[in-house]
Amino acid sequence: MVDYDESVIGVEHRLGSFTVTDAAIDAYCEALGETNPLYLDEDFASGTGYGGRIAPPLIFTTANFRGTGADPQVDFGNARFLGGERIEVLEPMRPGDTITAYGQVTEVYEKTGRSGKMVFVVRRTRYENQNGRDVALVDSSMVHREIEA
Amino acid sequence: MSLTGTEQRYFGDAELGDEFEESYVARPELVETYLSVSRGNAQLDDEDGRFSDAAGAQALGLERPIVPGVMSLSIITRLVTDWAGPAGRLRTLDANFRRPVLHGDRLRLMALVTDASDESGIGRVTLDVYLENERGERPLQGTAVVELPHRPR
Amino acid sequence: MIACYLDLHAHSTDASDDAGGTVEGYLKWIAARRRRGYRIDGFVLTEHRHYDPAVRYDELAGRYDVTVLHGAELETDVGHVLVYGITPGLVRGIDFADVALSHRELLTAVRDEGGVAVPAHAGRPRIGLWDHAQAGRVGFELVGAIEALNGGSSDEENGRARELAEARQLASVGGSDAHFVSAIGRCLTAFERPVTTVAGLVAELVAGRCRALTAEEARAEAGAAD
Repeated sequence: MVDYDESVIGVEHRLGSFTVTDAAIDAYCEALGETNPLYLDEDFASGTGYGGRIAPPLIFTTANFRGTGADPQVDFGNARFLGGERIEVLEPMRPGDTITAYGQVTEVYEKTGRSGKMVFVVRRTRYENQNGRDVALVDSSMVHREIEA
Repeated sequence: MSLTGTEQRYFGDAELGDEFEESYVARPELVETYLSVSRGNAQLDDEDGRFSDAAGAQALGLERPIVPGVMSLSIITRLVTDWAGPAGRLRTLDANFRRPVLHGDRLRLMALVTDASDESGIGRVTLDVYLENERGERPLQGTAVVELPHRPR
Repeated sequence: MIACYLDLHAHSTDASDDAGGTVEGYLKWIAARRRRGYRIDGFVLTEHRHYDPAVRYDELAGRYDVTVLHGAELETDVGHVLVYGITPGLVRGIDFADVALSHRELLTAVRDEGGVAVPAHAGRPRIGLWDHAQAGRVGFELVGAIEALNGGSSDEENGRARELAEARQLASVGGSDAHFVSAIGRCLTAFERPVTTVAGLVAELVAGRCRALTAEEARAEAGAAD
């Protein structure tokens, strides 16, 4: 089994926070080619069940705080990539909301797959709004592996 | 027909086997715009230039800079939420990355209804979701669960 | 004349940890595709590095009138190989979990046990046969057929696989490599005779009475035959 710092497993850390702004929503939508008026048009959005503009549900991905928080110091591989994510959306985010992210390493495991040995570092990030309510939970798998130069 | 997000989809409208799709070109300036939101939050890790710099990407063995995986998740989410309409709600998205999405890739954003069930009055629709590039590869594949309202009587 | 269309390459949540599709999900999807004019008669579960003879889907498959057979996708020194006709002797003699099996040992054992071995996604770098064939590392005399149409491969990769099958005069098969529900049946193998058992599948593959085609091609072909 690969060497890593087991003491970080399951220990939640505050990663940082960000504020959802109109400008951030506008830029995020522009990047995605998103034209949905629920996110962009206050008049339209106020006529929906939300009563006003909300942010697209995955806007928190722009603030994914990678590289912060506990590091299990995985002693393997010269490359890493995002293998997958499981996202649970719990509450809408609105302009003006302040979202705080809390992260923990939940698992480190090794697997031998099609491209040889890989080490998976699974992190859970919990995004909480200013009212103390969770808005999203994300489990992401970062894959460490050796690639030929 | 382009999905705009304004039309409400109802649970009874979703049938197993239904397909819908949109397109997206991963133009470098759009990736830059996405990264600019991130830079405002000072977080997305692009230290090695994989998302923005041709030389940095090549040093990592990539043909061109790549689209951040989390941006690809956002792109496929756009399709799902625009299809669902204002009262639809994305509950989960579970996706794997099989290959990188490269700057300039012309993507088909695809979703297919694979299950629909009514759970205590809540219409829950499961979708398979994919990004497919012009080379016929599917860099992202996964599933999404969406709640849709019942059509008012 | 076409007797049936089978997808020879599929993974499920039951034994492949990178899959999101369940066997029942596949069956429901096939039923839905049939309602839209597609012709898919069945599929072969080829889980990664795994084969459990105790797991049967006969009853479930019967409810949907779909043939579900069992094989495995194993990993060798020349890429991944689909194995059909797995016997207790093969399970005893080969470590299915090994990710670097000698292809000569595996393919010889499969042949000796009366099965058939088919290199998967043959045009893909590293995990397909192509690179290894170019390097002269492949014992082609042991290869039963080539997966020349794979649902997870690019058009270019499938083109290379097709080229390889043609150059070696090997039969071509198609498989979706489905990991998610809606991928099942995307690539198919057409058989001239009905195939409802593993023994029947092996016999048809060995005889070369098969060819690879897409779901759309099968739909058009079956529609024209009706």
